[in-house]
Amino acid sequence: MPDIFVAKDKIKKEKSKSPLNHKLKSELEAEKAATWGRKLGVLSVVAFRPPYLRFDDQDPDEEIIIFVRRHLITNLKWFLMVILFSLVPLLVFTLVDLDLVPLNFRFIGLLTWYLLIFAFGFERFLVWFFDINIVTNKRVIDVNVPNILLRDITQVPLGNIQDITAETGGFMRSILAFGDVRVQTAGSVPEVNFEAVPKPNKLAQILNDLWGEI
Amino acid sequence: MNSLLSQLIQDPTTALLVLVKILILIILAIYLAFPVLAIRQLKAMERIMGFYIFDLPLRIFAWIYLAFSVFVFFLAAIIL
Repeated sequence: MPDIFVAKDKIKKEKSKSPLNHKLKSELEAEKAATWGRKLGVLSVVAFRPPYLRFDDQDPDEEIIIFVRRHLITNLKWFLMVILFSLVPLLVFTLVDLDLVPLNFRFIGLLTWYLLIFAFGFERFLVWFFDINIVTNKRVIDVNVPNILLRDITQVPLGNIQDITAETGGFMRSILAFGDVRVQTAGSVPEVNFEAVPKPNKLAQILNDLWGEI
Repeated sequence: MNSLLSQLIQDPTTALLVLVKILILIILAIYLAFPVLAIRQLKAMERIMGFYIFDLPLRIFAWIYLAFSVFVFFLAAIIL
């Protein structure tokens, strides 16, 4: 039976329960979309409300607010190592006399060396690629991939959030404006970390706004 | 084993090369597990979370990588 009389308080509560508040929808959304963009590619680090991103247990009324990965510069260390290791055969072939080693062995040895370097680089890339954080209007999802064999997925409802802290420290982080966002929770998982994400203060602001909605 | 040892004494260079060949083939055979793991991981991420994160180029790349690894393994077995 339809309600004839609905209390004003109830109407207000229903409005306040809407997925996103007015501020986020108008001012912040335009700002964040301009700052981060909506496109999501292979090398995308951050996307605000990415239009094509979905995940399996996403609720029909659940909306992905932000998709974020570690900053691209965090790949610099392994990238430089790959370049350095790639130069090793060049040094060996010029400095060491390898006349005793047959040509076919040298060739296969070289191929094996580069395959191993490639495996190292590809593994590091996949770890970066799959280590993602997603913030929806209902929860925070942290996919943590320490190496190619391990995978750890943490989901925290926004209601369980206790505290949000943004940290930016260090030379590189200050220059390139990336840092960590620590989300303390009341659940079984004490903390969810968004590591080396771009513009951590703005991400913390989004989380704060969403948290304030609950 | 005895024949390998006697060959090692008679012609140490050839026997050493045979040993190196076996070693390289073992390394390459173990190595084949890596591209397979990468492909499995790519599939697993899609299965578990159902994410659509534009990983198609990566999957194609992983298959090419597996094909190349198999090629190097057989090449080593043939030319060494």
